[in-house]
Parts: sequence; C-alpha cells; structure tokens
Amino acid sequence: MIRNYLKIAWRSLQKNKLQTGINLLGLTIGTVCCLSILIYVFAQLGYDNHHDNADTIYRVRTIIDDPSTPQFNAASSGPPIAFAMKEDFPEVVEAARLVYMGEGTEELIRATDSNNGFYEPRGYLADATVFNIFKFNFIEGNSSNALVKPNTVVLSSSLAKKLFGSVPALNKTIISGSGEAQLTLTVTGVFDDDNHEKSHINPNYLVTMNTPGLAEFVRTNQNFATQNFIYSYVKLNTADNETLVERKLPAFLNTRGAKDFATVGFKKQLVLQKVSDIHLHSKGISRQIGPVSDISYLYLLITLALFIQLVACVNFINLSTARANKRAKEIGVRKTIGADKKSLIGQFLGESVLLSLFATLISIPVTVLLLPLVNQLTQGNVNYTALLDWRILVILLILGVVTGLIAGIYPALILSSIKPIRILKSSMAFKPGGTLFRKALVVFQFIISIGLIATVSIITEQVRFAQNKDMGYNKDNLIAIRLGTEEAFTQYETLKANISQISGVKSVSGCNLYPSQFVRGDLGAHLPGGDSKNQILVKHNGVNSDYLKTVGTKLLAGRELKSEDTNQIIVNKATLDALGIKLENAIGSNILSAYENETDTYEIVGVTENFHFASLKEAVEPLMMYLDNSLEWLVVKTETKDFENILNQMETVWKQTNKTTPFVHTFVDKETEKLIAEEKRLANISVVFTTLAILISCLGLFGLISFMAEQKKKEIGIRKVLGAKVSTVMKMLTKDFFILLIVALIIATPLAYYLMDNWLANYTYRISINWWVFIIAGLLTMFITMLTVSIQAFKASTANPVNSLRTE
Amino acid sequence: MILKLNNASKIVNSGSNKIALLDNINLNVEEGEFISLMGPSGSGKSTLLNCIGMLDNFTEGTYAFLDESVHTMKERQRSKLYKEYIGFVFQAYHLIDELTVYENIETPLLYKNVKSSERKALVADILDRFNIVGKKDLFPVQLSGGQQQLVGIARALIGSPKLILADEPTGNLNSKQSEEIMELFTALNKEGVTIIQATHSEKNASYGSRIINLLDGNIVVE
Repeated sequence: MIRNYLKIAWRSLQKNKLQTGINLLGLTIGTVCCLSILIYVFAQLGYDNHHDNADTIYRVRTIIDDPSTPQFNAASSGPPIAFAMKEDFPEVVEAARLVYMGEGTEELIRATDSNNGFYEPRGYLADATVFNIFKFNFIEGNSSNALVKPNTVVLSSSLAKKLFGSVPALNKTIISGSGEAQLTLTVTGVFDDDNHEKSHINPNYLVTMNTPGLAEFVRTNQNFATQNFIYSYVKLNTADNETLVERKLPAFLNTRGAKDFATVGFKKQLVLQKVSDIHLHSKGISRQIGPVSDISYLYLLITLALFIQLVACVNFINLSTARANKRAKEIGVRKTIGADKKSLIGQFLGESVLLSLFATLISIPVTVLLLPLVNQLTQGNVNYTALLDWRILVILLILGVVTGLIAGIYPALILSSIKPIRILKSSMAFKPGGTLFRKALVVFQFIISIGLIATVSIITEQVRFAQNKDMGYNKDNLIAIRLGTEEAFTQYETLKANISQISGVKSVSGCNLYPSQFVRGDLGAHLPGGDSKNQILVKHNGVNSDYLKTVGTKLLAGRELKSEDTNQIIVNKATLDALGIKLENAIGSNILSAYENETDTYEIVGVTENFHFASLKEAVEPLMMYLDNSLEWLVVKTETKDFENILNQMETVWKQTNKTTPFVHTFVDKETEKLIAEEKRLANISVVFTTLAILISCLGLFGLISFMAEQKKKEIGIRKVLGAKVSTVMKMLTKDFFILLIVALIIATPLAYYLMDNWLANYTYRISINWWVFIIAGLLTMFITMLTVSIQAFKASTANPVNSLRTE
Repeated sequence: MILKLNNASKIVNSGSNKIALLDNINLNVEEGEFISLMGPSGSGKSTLLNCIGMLDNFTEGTYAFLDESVHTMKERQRSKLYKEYIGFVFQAYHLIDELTVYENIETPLLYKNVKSSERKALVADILDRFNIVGKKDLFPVQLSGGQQQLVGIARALIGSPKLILADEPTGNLNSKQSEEIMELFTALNKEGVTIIQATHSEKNASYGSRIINLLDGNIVVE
C-alpha cells in the first residue's frame, strides 16, 4: 500500500511540474533557513559543559541596586570573595579567580630570546586552582601544579606555536609588559586550543596570580565592597546546594565586609550563576568576558526560520486545495473502487511528506554550499562537519516530516472528503472548498511580507541613524596607533613630533582609550563641602594635549590640557549636570574624589559637549579626562585618505625609536562601526529573511493566479466574446488580491509597530517610527504582488477566446 | 433477490421548487439478471444508477440490497456494502491517469488488503482473460477508448462483485468497440454477474434480459 502511495505521489508530483516546482523550491528555501539556523543555534549550545561536574561550577557576580549609585549588574565581583567563600562555606569545595586583561589594553608579550612582540587577546591572571575547576587538555606540563610557582604562565597551543615555533614551549620563558611592569614568566604548561571545547573563558594564556603588580593587588586586597572587576568562580560539592549557598551570601557579606560597606555607603548583593548558563543566559549582565550570545536572539532566529518554512507550507496548502478539482476525478474513482477516507488521507499526506523530505534532502548540500554566507550573516564560524551532528540530522528529519504533515493535513482533509458522486455528474463543476481559508492564508503571507519589509526598513533606518549620528567626535581619517609598552610611551613626545612632520597628518595626540573603546574605569566624585558618601560615578580617560582637536570634539568652555597640567581635568557636560554645576561657573571649579582615606582634588579647565564615547544604546555618562603620560594609544588625524603612504611613513618613524614594540594600528571609524555590529547583523539577517519570505510568497501567488486563470478560462473566454477589454479581465483576476493585501496591511501595521517599538526601546538614541514605513511596505508588497499576478493575468486575458471555448 | 426498491424517490430543491428526479420507483432485481435502463437525457437513468450504487441516496421510499435495508444505514455502512458487492463502469472510463493498466486493476485489491501474491494472481488472470496482458505497463492515455473501457470493466470485476452498474459504458465508443463490450457483458452475465446498464442505444439495450424505460423519473413500461 505504502509503495502504491509513493508511486502515485511521485507520478502526481511529476505531472504537476509547476506546482511541484513552486512547492519544492519554497520548502527547500525554508528548510535551508531552518537548517542554517539550527547549525548556528547548536554552535551556541553546550558552552562550559565539558568541565568535570560542570553543573556544580558557579560564577559569583555582583548586583548593586542602591539609589546612591548607578545600577550595577555585572559578571564580576571583588577580590577576596571567592576564597572567603571557600573558607566560610563547607559546600564550596574549590575557588578560583580570573582577571581579564581586556581588549586593546593587554600587555605585549614575546619570547625572551626574540624581539618579536605580540599584543595577544584573551589573556588572564589566574589562581592556580583554576585548573581544579575548569578542564583544559594539557599537551605539555601538568595542570595540577602549572600556576603554583611565582611568575609562571600557561599558553594555548596556538600561542606557543606563535612564540616558539615547533619547539616545545615547556620551561621556556616569555617577557610580558615593559618598564616597571615587565615580567619574565616561565612556561609551565601548554593546553590544546585547536580542538577546544566551547567555554566562555576561551583563554589564549593564563598568568599566575602569583606575580607582582595587578595580581599582587588582587591577592592582597581585602575589600569586600569595591574593586568589583574580578571574575570569581566556585565549585560546590553538589548542585543541590546552590540555593543554600545563595541564601547564606548576604550574611556572609555583612560579617566579612561590614567595615567596607560602611565606608562606601552602599550595599551590594552576590549572585551565583551556573557557568554553563553564562553564554546564553547573561542578558542585562555587564562586564562580560568577551562576547556572549543571548537565548532570546536564538529564539528570534528560530522564529524567523520557522516563519519562512510556514510561508512555504502555506504555498503548498493553497496550491493543493486550489487544485482540488483537478484531483477530484481520481479521488472519486478511488472511492468508488473501495478507498475509504483514511487511506486517501494517508495517500495525500504521503505526497506532502515525500515532497518535504525531498526538500530536506536537497537542503543539506545547499546549506553546505551556503555556509560561508551563513557565517558571514551570523558572525558565526561553523563548518560543514557541524552538519554531521546526529542531533541536527534527527531534528532535520523531524522537521521534514512535521512540515510535510502541516502542509499536507488540510489539503488531505479537503481532498479526501470529496464525494464520488461529484465526478459522475460530469456536467457539475466542482467548486473547491476552503476558499475563505485559502484567502486567510494569502493574508497571512501578506502579513509576513509587509511586517518583514516594515521591520527591515526600521532596523536599517536605525542602523543608518547610528552610523550617521554625530557622535561628538570625528571618526573619519582617524588612526589609532598602539603605544603599549614603556619603550613606546616614553618616546611619546618624539613620536608625536616626528609623525606630525609627515605630510598629510593634521594633528597628533595620545590617550588611554580612543573613542569607541569601552571605558571601564570610574571614580566617585563630589563637590567641595559635599558628602563623600553622596557621590556620583565619573568615568575617566587619560589623554594628552591636542586630544580634543585631534578627535574633533568641541569644547563648550575652557581649554585643552597642557603638558604642565597636573590635577587639571576636562569634563563633559553630563558631569556638570550630574554635579549641578552651571556651565558658566564650571571653569575653575573643583571636584573632589575620595578613595580609601585619601581625597584628591581636581580643577575643571575645560568642558566638552556630550560626545558618545560608548554605544548609542547607552546614555552619555559623566566623563573626565586627565593628563596622562603613560599613554596606550597615539591618535592621528590625517587630511587624506591615502592611508597606505602615511602608514608606511609612520611605521618608518616608529621603527627609529622602537626596537621591540610592534607597529599596530587601527582605524577609529572601523572600531566605531563595531559598536553597531549587532544591529547591522540583525539588519542583514532580516533583509535575507524578508527577501526569502517575499520570494516564496510570490511563488505561491504565481501558482495561485495561474490556477485561477485556468479555472476561469471559460469565463474569460465568454467575457471576451461579449466584448470585455483586456484591462477588465485583468481587473477581475487581480482585485481579490488587492483586497486581501489591504486586510493584511491593516493587521500587519500594529503588529510590526509594537514589535519594533519594543526593539527600539533598547536604544537611548533612537529613531521614531514613521507611519509611512508601513505605507511603503504595503505599496512595495502590492507592487511585487501585482507584478507577479499581472504576468499570468495578462497571459490569460490576452488568450484567444476561441481556444478556451472550443475545448469545452 | 439482489435488490428491491419500494416507492423510492429522489426529490431535490431547486430554488423554491421541489423537483422529483426519481418518482416512486418500484423495482425488483433478481440475481443473474441483465437489465438495461433506457430513456432520454434527464429521464433519471444516471440518478437511479447512482442511488442503487449508494453513491447517492433516495430521499423517500425503501431500498433493500441483499435483504438489508440500505435507506436506514449510516454512510459508513453503505460504503462498506457497495465496496464489497458493487462494481462501477463509467462512460468516461475514469481510469487513474497516473497509474498503469496493471496498477489501475490492482488498486481495488489494495484497498481490500489482499495479499501481494494473491493480487498478482488475480490481476494476471483478468489481464489474460481480457487479452490485455501486453498493455499492462501502459498508461491510460496510451490506450484507445475501447481498451480503456476494457480496463475499466476489468477493474470493476477484480473484486468479484455481485452487481455491475454501468452508466452508458459504450457512450464514448464506436460501434465495433461497443459490440465487443456488450459481448463481454453478456459473457459475464452468463457467469452469474448481475448487470444494470444505462444506455441510449436500442441495440445495446437488446443485449439485456430486461429493459426498463424511464421518463421524467418514472418507470414507463416494464
């Protein structure tokens, strides 16, 4: 029986080539979307699951929810907390801390016997116990004692190869940093990072906490309230104790940190987060190590992919029911020779499932071919081997079958309920049922199309808004050159002078963080005579003279910093507003900052407008700029875009003074662009999905109108004999679609408006939604629809009526 | 007695009018009869055949098939009954275009869940008997009208029905083909199959053992 079904399914699919082609194309596109998204989603799953007893490992993070300070909901916590927890709680069996060296602020490292230094990302300071918690696959050395001794370092295999080539790195030494901060570190281990398991840490190298400098500060700091920049991890004896430990944390903080909290005047809260939850469940948590994804983003992608598949299913349903009378004869005959409803339903479902599985099969090689494109869209990095995951294949198979069932069930019910008497009365034209349902489905497709077009234009507009927004600095022709080492920044003045000589260079200055770089550092500030407990947080950035001129930020009052300045600062307008200083009184005002038992006094010498030093998602926060001489970056403003020439000259100048520090540069406009990378990615993905949804819908409409024209062939013929014009017939065929489109527009508008307004609410600086976006989306959909429909309608209405009438 | 109609009528609403397509039909058919229904277009021949075949229902009167009262049955029971005992032959043959001759004939057996080996034997038998073994892998469009009707009859016969209902079985055929089909019917009838055919042709009607004339839904002469 099954064989018979498959046979007839195959032959019937072959016979209706247009319908089969449309359905197959639609379902294949849908399945490719689903499969691509599936691969991407799987790549985002399974982070930090590979550690021994992974479910007992937690990150201890901090929430400060106190009216006196800005909301602080961060992935990090204070230095003494992890080990104090191990001392106080019997449930905590191990603790370890990581300090993330950050990006763009990492130290230069090189092999001791080499002058080739590298700024290596993903470096950490780590306690030796880190390997008791997280699993690393050591290929040299031993994880149990790797970071115990002072001045030791563990390298990833790729970094080891970069520094030492194919020679074993074990017991070799590397030099990290420069000047006073320079360390000679002994390599005590190398772990494999070629086939590494997915982890939120994903280190490139780990330096023992047993080193001087920052690590020593972390080691010795006993403040439970402040310095919340440490990533603390604890391992519990059993995951069941999570709530127990969490309940004990407030009391723990109170006993251990009573004095510290009294000094700062705010309370904080510690929270446990399972490490396996970090990658996908970190929404709203700031100060992450590296990028994290978000489960809701994955849901969004899955939803979009399923929508595409659904639109393809709708095509199948529409075309199958519309063609019901084509098959009425077969159904009638089958019923008279013994078929019951059940076996007919089986037969039609067999057809749709067969088609869907066929699409599934095609989708696999197509997806493999499209993977580079998918990676580019999702900023992912998956290769075709991900497809071989049996779970993906099983889900794909289920998807294929379920799609077939969803697409097939309604037509199967409609078709199988056709009464055999209908075919015996040949004079009786069979009217396919479900016209209203089919209209509803067409409306659904229109809603998706209009909704997606509106969504895309709103996202794109927001991206363009962000790109074109006056950030308060001029990112064009702005080059940032990494100083990084003492060798380089002690030569700052020479470098600045020499680079200024290069023709095409307009202005040169220095800073710790160039615009668009994340400003982590902040300090508490208050007015003279004010209460140090009632302070505001001000972010800070070290800069040098000519900085504002170079980056193109306007001064509202006062002057730039000069090389003889000491406690003079430039603040932004937001700082004045936060402290309640009037602009006209600002110059010469003092700001105080208390830390531990010292109070520093700063004098305002300049006020800038509120330039966007962070992403547009955030409001401009108070910022102060002070004169710093150990700068991280040179910023160079050029007059031309002939960067190659200027960069070559700068490199030559650079090499005159720098022996070990490499010449590393970046373009600020490119870095600024990264701030809206997420939005651009979303925009690109939406464009792709929208195009596909519209394409599939159009295919369906094309099929539907072809069918309608065929069905009304006789009517058209008669009308034309009676003298109807081509335009009248065209109108007759297309007016239904027009009405459906209007209905869809009315439904889609509030839906899309609501969703996009929600999305835009994430942005402090956002566009407002224009009503004409929806009109344009509607017009565009109408235009595409009419184009599709008109081709067929025109063909039908210009056909010679003699032909259509004679066949009767 | 294979079937018995007692005051059976079929009345439909057409706008505000009630039209009797069949009006108080009384008819007894014995097993082994070969009946020809005659009458002009619209006289109710097809409607009567469809109602007897249980594809359509009488609206009044009683209908007993093999001593079971069809008019009180549920749809499901009715369709079970006709599938078991009745074979249909159509003027337009109504073969399934996507299936070969062999598959068309085999399909009723599939719906009866007949075992594969038995199916093969039965289909081979009937192909042999109808002299169409050579055509078994062809599709309907590749056959002449007469050949298609042969396949249609073979398909109607494969399930060994007690009754064959044929609605203008030769309506689309030329006279020579018609003759062949009629002779086939006669032969089948001799083997004990009851046949009711609707026809326009006096000549075809004469093959039957009894002629029933219909006019405006009434039996005129018996």
